[in-house]
Amino acid sequence: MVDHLGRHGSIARSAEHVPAERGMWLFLLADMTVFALFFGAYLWEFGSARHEFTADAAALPVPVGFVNTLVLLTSSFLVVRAVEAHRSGAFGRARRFLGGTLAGAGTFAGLKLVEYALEIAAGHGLTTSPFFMYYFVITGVHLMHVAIGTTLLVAWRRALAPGKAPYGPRWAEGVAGYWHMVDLLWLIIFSLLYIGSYA
Amino acid sequence: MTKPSSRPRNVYIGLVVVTVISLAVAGGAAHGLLTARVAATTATVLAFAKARFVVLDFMELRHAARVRSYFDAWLAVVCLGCAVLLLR
Amino acid sequence: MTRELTGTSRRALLACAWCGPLTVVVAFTGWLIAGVLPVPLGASSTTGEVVDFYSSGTHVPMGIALASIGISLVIPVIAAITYVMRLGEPGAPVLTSIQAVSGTVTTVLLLVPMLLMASAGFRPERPAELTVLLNDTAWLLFITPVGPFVIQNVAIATAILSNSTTPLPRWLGFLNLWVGFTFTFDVIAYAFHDGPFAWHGLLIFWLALTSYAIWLVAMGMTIRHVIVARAAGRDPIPGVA
Repeated sequence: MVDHLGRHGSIARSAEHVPAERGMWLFLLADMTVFALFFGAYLWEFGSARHEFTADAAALPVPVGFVNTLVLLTSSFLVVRAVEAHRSGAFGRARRFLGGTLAGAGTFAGLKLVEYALEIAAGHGLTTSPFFMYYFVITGVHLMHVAIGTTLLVAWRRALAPGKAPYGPRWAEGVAGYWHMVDLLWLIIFSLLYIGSYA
Repeated sequence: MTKPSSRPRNVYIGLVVVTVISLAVAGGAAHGLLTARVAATTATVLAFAKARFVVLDFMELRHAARVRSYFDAWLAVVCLGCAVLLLR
Repeated sequence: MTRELTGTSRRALLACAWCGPLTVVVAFTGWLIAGVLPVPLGASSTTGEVVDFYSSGTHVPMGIALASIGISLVIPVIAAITYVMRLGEPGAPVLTSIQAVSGTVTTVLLLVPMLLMASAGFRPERPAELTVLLNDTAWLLFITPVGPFVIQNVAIATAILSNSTTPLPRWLGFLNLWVGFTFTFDVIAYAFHDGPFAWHGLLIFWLALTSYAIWLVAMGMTIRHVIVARAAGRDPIPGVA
């Protein structure tokens, strides 16, 4: 058993070190594979109706999606810092970083809901066109992941409060990995739905 | 003892820069130079490249040989599939 | 909780475990006989197609009745899961209870639509729209009430991943999380008559069918492994504290 508290940053890491645990990463890959099926179905239909898809995609507020990309990237970076602080026993620092991450998660979800409200006000819905079917389903399932990730981050942060027993570093690495997956999937979703079909 | 490594910060800045570049590539700055298909494919390949940095430096799988190879394989297959579907 | 398993309980538990893969075999056989597989009726099927399917012969209701017996074999699997989860939750068996109740409800929600489908095939000369109504009701009831199963998955996963004394391996916890995820979005089948998110779509029916089959086989075979190891007095997963 590796003593995780003895490691700092990315140095002094053995060649085969696996953060969290292997089963968690396989779970994330399986989860991402369901998204890959979504992407494949979307691009399949996109290819057979490019004009319709591009016309619909032009109605998306790209700046909002862009800001959300930056928000998630920043929140992911703060999680990296939180894991480092957690490992070195600086639980107060870890809590502050996680507070920043949670602010990012809240901002992302808030902007997403504003975006949905704008789309629906403009007459677009789940069943109005193939593009918007994929848009609402894919971003909706992603938003569900944001909600699950947020719940995990809150649990992690609460357990770091003074007087509480913090979770082990492996648990923290697992939650961090989940949040990075949320970020990773959004990078691809933003590219495929917002700017890939916008061109 | 707890000095954080500078690599995640550099990767973070790089990811932000590439996000801006992708938007420029697909959003019109490069129109006239690239067709819509090539622009969309370029943006997608850049997105998967960014995703790989998230895997290596944020998920910290750079030194986890086996798990990293699974993620690399996933990214390669899905990126290739998306590129083929976009270019077809 | 006693560690020993007497001959009869051991054999009964092993039979329960084998019911996992057996569910898949019997249900798939029934659906193949009925013609539900390989290509099921879809949300986009016309009234004529629906009536033709149910009036094509007695093999339709009989095959579906066989599938309903196959699905009933989930009951012993849930009992065995409950037993094994109880071993790892010696205090208040909260997660074990959630699993048992939600698993039971899931089974009912899989049985009832089968019986509705079989009823649709019982008197297909009735007015066509009634057969369409029965078919829609059966399929939507079959596909969309995912809540109980997702709750069951999360209860199993939580019990495994948060508890070091469970005899079940950690990968099974992660598998349950993934299987649960593949079901979460099935409710959107109410919105579509066509495409991958309709009830017969790739990402609804086919994904759920695949992950449910994987779940039944994985749960059954892991429990078999645990029972065999315990009967031999061994720790089923050495190295996992």
